[in-house]
Amino acid sequence: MRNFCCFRWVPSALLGVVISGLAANAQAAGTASGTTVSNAATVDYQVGGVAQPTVNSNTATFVVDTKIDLTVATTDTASVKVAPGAAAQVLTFTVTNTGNATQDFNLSATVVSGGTGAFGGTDNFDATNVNIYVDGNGNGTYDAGTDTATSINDLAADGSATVFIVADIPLGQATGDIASYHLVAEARDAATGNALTETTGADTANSVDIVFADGQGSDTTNDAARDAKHSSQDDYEILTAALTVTKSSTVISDPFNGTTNPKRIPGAVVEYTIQIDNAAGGTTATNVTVSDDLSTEIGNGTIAYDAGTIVVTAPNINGGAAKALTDAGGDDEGDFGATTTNAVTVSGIALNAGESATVRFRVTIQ
Amino acid sequence: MLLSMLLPGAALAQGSGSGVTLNVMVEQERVVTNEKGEKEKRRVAATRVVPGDEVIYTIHYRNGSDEPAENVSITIPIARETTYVANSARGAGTLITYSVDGGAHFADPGRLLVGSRDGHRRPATAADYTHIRWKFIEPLPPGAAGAVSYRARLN
Repeated sequence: MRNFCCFRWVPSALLGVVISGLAANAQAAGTASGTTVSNAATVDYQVGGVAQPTVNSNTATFVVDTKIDLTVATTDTASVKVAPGAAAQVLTFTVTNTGNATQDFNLSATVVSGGTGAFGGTDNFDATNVNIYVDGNGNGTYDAGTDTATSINDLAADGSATVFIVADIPLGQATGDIASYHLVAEARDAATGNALTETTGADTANSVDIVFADGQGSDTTNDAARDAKHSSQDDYEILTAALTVTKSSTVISDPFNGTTNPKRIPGAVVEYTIQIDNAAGGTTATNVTVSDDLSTEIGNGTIAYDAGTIVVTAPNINGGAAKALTDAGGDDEGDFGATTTNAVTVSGIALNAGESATVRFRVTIQ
Repeated sequence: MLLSMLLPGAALAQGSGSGVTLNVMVEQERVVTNEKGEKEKRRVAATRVVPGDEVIYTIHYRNGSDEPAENVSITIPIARETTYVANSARGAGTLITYSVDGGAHFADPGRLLVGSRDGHRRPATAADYTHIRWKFIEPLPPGAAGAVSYRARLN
């Protein structure tokens, strides 16, 4: 049956409309737990062509429950390179509360024994003295003595915290060795710190239930989907310095030819050059000591050390320029005969990967 | 007087009922295991809703009067904590239009524009809708009842 009314319908769009704010999503993590969402409808109609008062419906409501969700992710973009014997080496992670209510978070580290590293390779050693600390001052860097909390207290919805695994690296590991760890975070009750329990079975309207919505992270043994936990993997990778030493000699002068095409004859001055190279791709070597013991040659009368001829050229000494050293001990980086009898000793050289240093001294052929 | 003679009783919509009435309910779908051990989707009252979950609003209507209700239109705002799920509005015998300006104007989805930051206007998406309107094509006879519905996702 068509409308039998003799009047044209007059739009009454502006009548009885409940103005609502534009759909807004203030939080990425979603509407806050405990929010009551209400909605009601209206109906406009006519009877016999006469507009009737707008009729309002009941208000339908529901209460937003607590969504437990979190993300753990390492911020390291490659394995953390460490030297054998290094103390307090740091793996860095962020823990983000992607739920809709403030939670506490417990933290634990699990070893990846023999498994694949986060950035390739295979775990083949364990670090020692493994601890977990929260970045208390929020500077993104581990500060010993300052970052002391071992769990996250009251992380608001959408909030994130930086967490460090701090461990010591044992001696005796070779370049490429990997110690891999998972950081596992577990959401806890913000008020009590107790474990959370998902609301199961029948629930009551207009009460706040708990729903676990997290996915599974990297630690598939200790972290499942929807268990209030999430995890991420990160690696320590050994990177040691690879030093090579090369010794060469050059004739400076002889008593007959002087410095022009000198020959190695008795009375000739010979300069020895000891070159130390730290291979590219390794790590910095510090406190490198070069020692050349001449006691055999001096003892059998082959050569004599020319006093005051030690020269060191190293990136960390004298701005990288050559530096002449005295023969005395203790006044500079080197000596002759003070540290070891009849030996040239130069210490305190530091070499980054790919850098070189030389130590030169002269002797006279007897 | 003439009017009331021409349209006896109509203007007051008197009769057995109280005119057109509405009842809104909000539900969610939950996968449950039935007696046979099979998983099935059931609609239950929206009691466990977290961000990202979908809820279903159903608006039951009834013409409780003994006169036909003409030009019936049901309007509901989309709660601001929620986002309309595209193409989810249902209503037999109705024309469904949407508003993107708080209910001031309604139009078909293809005709809705919203301002963007650069000052131009772009076609609206489901996320822009603020209200839904179901306009009935035919009058509602006395005693007629039914329901219209839509889905929304909790932000």
